[in-house]
Amino acid sequence: MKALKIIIRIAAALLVFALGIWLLQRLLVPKYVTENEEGLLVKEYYSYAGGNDVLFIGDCEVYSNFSPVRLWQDFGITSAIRGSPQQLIWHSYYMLEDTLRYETPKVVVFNVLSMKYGEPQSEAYNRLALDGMKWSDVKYRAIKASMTEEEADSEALTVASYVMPILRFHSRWNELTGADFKYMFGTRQLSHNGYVMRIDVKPVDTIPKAAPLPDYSFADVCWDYLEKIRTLCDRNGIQLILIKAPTLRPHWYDEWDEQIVKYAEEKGLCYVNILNEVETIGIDYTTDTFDAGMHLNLSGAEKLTKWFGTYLKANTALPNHRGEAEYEEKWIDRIDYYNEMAEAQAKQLSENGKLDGYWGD
Amino acid sequence: MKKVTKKLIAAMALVLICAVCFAYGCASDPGDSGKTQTPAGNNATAAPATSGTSDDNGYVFKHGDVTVIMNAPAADIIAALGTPRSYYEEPSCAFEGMDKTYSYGSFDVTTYTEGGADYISGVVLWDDSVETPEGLYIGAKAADVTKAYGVDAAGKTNVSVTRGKSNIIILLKDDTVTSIQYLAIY
Repeated sequence: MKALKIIIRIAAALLVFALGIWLLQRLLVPKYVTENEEGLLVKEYYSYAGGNDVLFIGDCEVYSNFSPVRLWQDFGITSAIRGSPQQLIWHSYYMLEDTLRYETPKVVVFNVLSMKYGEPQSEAYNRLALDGMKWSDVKYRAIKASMTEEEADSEALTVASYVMPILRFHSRWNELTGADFKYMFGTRQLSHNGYVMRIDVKPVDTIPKAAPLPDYSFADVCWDYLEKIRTLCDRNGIQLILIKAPTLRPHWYDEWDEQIVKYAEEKGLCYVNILNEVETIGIDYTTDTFDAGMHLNLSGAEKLTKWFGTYLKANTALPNHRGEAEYEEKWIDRIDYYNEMAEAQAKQLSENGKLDGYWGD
Repeated sequence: MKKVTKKLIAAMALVLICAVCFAYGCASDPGDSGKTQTPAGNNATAAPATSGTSDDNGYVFKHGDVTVIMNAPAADIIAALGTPRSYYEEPSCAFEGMDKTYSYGSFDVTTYTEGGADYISGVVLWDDSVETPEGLYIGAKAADVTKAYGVDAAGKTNVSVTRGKSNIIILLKDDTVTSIQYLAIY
């Protein structure tokens, strides 16, 4: 009897201890509500996973430039974006693998800008890409593949810090704000099926000349992952489309483009460098970008999406789901939230002359 | 028995706290940004050019009396260079602040942000109206590269030289220099 009591007490103590650590962790991890909001994107995917015929993977050039809501409204195409800031190609590959645990899209659209990065750039971007991913062997492999040199030096601890983010963020205790308490158990929805909306305008005034590079070859590791993406799509009966989004910075060199064109031809893939279609689409860089050409604003994204929807119709066999109750019901709330955010941002912009946040409050 | 339980809990807590602190970077504070690069601690700014390159400052670029030192605080240097022909800024890929490009026609100066201040991240020379303090300019020959930097550039398409926290990348075509780019090493 005594032994049983001891066991119960120890178990209770362990439970209380674990609960305490969990609460502390909830408090200390970044909430991505007042800064680096794009850190919410990967986690948000799980709330709209399922039933998406098109999956966009890539960096800000997908999550800032394509609007799944417009694709639905104008073409009846269901889509989701799994983007994250400076998503590198190995991140994209594992985003695709992770997505396949929840759904199998008919078309995957991959933005090729990340081919320029042959090595991990920053631990912070790994966090933004991977912290929000649900635990699975995919995430474990993604962490291993993404480590910076510094992270790899203490690999076991790095992996442990993804299991228990408190190990990584414990030192935030002196940076805590009201938002950390307010959003301890849940944050606000940032995206619209992965699209991050900005309605403000910062026109392109000047674009600096791009310095020539010593070597335009993409790194072997990038080719390896591009091939992995292609074969994974192939094995799952998914059509892979390669794109280069029509943003002016970072500069997309012709020498890079030629390599992608050649690869796409060899593998029988569609590749469209949308920078060449800007005039057709009607993108006006004095009104359609919020940061002088790096990303499109809502106006630009809607123009681009309208053009891309037509492209998808012409080059794929995607169905139009408009009129199907199951889909209509799902998208009605998304359209409402999309319009609501656009209105909130417009209101803040007209009152303050600038946007203070995505939610317009 | 209660005492034993309490001691157990205390011991567990202590072990975990110690493990957390020792195991993962009480020393490193990644914060939200996780940016690890730091400026080279260069305190030189728009110092008048008095001599050639200094090992302390690495390879520098000089324009008139202004010395542009990699990783040096940018404000005074940019002010001393005068009004640029054009200016461009974009959110930094290194996560903090803005990356800025000041274009002066014959050369561009770029900066990065660290701790709220801007630092020099690079210089690109665009034409032969400017040259490095070692005398290299766009259009110079491979032999001039060797003379200026002691590296064999003959038959090569690019060479790179490093000094301190600075790097110069020199591109060549048919043994003629086509591009000179300074880069800060973080």
